[in-house]
Amino acid sequence: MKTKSRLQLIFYLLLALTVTTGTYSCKSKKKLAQEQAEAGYNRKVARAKADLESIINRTSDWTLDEQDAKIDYIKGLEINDQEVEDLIIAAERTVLEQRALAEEAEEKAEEKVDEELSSEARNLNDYFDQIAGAGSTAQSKSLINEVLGLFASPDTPVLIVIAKNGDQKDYDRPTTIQKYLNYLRDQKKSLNRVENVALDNSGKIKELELVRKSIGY
Amino acid sequence: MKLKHIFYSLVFLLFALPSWAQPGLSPQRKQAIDSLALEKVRDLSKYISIIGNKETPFSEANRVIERALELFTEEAQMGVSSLNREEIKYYNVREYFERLMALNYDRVSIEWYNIEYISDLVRQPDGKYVGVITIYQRFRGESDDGLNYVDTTKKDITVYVEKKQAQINGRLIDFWDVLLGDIRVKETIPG
Repeated sequence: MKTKSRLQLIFYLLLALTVTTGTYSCKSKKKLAQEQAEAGYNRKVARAKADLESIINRTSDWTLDEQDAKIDYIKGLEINDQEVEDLIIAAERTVLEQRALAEEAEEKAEEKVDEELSSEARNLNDYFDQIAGAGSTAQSKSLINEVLGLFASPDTPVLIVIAKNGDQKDYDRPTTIQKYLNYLRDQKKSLNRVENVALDNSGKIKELELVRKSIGY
Repeated sequence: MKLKHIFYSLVFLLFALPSWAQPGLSPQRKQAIDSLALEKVRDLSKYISIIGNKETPFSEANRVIERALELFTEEAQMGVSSLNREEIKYYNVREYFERLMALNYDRVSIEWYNIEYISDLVRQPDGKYVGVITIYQRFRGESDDGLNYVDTTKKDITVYVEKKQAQINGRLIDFWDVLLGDIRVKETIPG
């Protein structure tokens, strides 16, 4: 009888031990998961802060579009942290400033190209815009005659660059200056600017190379 | 199981083939050629409106017809539809322009809009690129005696792009030649 009681006691002790350990184990698993989640969140916050700081300090290699995308991504994480929110505002301001600077630099580059252009080229660009915007047939015809006077012949070749990659250029079908001027008059649009002008011995234009205005400088 | 393999192979080929089929065409160059072809279609739209316009002098309209013809392949045809008949007539483009110029209205306005690719330029075995651009054309013809006709037609334009060479002042220049092929009527509705 005594032996039976002892066995029963050991059984109950083991049962209690198992239940206690199990509960403890469950609790520790939950705790572990919670700790992991917290650690994950903290890593996310730290990553976001680091990315935003690299944008603010302009030390990242990302383009402006990529920086915008990164900020949008961080906003999408909905991190509830005042410091991150402040960094987002500062990063957005930085990208805006950089965009303004880039636009300014592009405008300056355009001005520089204009300054470097020969007087013939500047003249021609103005003429092309005037012909495309002429209010009457008489006006456009008169302008076309003026421009033709600058060229060796109405059949002077005109090349139009549609894409550039380093020194490699892609051209549209070559045309002549007469056809190009009539094109401006008919289509009422001036999509190209002067890239190169080749003069003959008498100072007349013997070849003209244009480039799409939409191609950057 | 076999069917599954065939299906995956087809899907792979569908996505992989176009990129294999266009060697050496960088995205930047592809974009420039796409834009060039769209610009040619816009140019044609303007030429058609000038040719159809009754205020355009005869000699000017003829000059513009010659310029417009330069946009097309030799055998290109233009589809013409009317709300008053089911049949779609096809004319070679010169005949189309001449008929357009001679339309029996006192005022004609033709406007093209929603010009866009419906089939991307794809390289063919002969090296040419072929694509299809769709446009919507709004035609309005008015006569002093009160005869009015208005319709909107959806048309598909086949576009051919080919790399060619030209000699300019003793130099060989590579260029992209964009030519328009048949213009087929897809749908015509009133208004």
